[in-house]
Amino acid sequence: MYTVLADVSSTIPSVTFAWWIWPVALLVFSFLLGTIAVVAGVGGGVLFVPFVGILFPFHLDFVRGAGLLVALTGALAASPGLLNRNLVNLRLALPMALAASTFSILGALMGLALPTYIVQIALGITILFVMVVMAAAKRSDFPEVKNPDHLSSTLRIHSAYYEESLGETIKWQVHRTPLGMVLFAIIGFMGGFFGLGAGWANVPVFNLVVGAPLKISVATSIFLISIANTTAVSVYMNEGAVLPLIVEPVGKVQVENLEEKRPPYLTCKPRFRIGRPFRYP
Amino acid sequence: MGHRGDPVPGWDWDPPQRTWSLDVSRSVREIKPAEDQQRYARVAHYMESIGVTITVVGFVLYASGLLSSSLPIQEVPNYWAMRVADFVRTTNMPRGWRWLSHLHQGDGLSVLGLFVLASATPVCLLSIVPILVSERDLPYVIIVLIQVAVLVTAASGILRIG
Repeated sequence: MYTVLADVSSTIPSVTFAWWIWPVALLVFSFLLGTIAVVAGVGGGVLFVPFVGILFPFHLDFVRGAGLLVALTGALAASPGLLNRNLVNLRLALPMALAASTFSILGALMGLALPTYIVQIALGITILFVMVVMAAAKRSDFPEVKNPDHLSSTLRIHSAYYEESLGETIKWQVHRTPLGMVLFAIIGFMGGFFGLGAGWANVPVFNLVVGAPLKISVATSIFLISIANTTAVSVYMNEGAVLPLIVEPVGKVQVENLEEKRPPYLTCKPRFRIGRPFRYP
Repeated sequence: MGHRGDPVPGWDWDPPQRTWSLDVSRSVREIKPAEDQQRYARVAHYMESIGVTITVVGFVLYASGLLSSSLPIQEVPNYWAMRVADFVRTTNMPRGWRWLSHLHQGDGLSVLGLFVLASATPVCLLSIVPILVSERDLPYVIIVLIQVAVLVTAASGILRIG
């Protein structure tokens, strides 16, 4: 049984290619993946790690490190625009990010310590679970939150944003904040363990559990990834699981500008910063 | 945080009531984010731009061979199928902060760019602490400082495998 469950990378036939073949193939594949991710409404990480882990000869340790960096870079690129449009709320994000980032360290350490076949099996099960969540999870554009919980009232987690589709200002508040923090701790652990951005889980928790409007949930989820992934990336970098030859050919997917006309509220395009690196959004 | 800039017309937040109704009778085309959000956004943008620029430059120098590398780029495919522990042991590639001694090499320079990207978040968080302190927002000062401590602990290499 162990033979069957052996590392997938070891089953790839050894064919000698020039060193640049696989990185270029990864570059092309990542652009395609970024396009599909937009249509599917998922972040790149949940598609990047399993597909690259299967199709490319890189060990899953390096693929996960690259996946985390891809998600981190995309979140960092998108966050300024979302913050300036008040679609990200720091008061909502920071307590959740603290829980997620703390446990993502544990997840990253455990993921790198466990045998590869265990991580692969767990990753497969998780991806199937992600499919179920995305198929079954409902969305609520404007959840009804009658009474904020004590913690959110104390931390003053509430705000307003301008909803272009309605031409009106939407005020919002949240509830079940402690439950949300527990769920984000679990999500952070999974993100560090599998090298995923975990946006697929962040949005339902923000929207359906905590009660934030859908746009706020999506935007704050993207921002939260920039914090939670940083801890996991640091662990992977310290262990040497970040190879420039694998990380850097990956096209950086920039997520910006929640536009309701483009489902699912995200605009996504591959982007390289060469040329105009310092234009402030 | 919240709206400490221009108030939203028709919106009176009253915490003791803990309930309020959505007042959508008026519209505001632009809701200015709080000062700390604006500063966070500005710092994040510049850190990300700097990090990506260094990463791209470093990678070009690394891939083109203009700079030497710790592990010749042509030999990397021989090892990228290994577990990271085996990879580090076999190639003697730097772990932890030892990559700093390889900044004169292409792969070390590439990692520098990735390090800048990874350090963007703690820098952004520290940049908003003075604003939070001036607003006497003690809960979020504590949250931000704990978050920075978690990020620094993760980056320090104190928590390692084996």
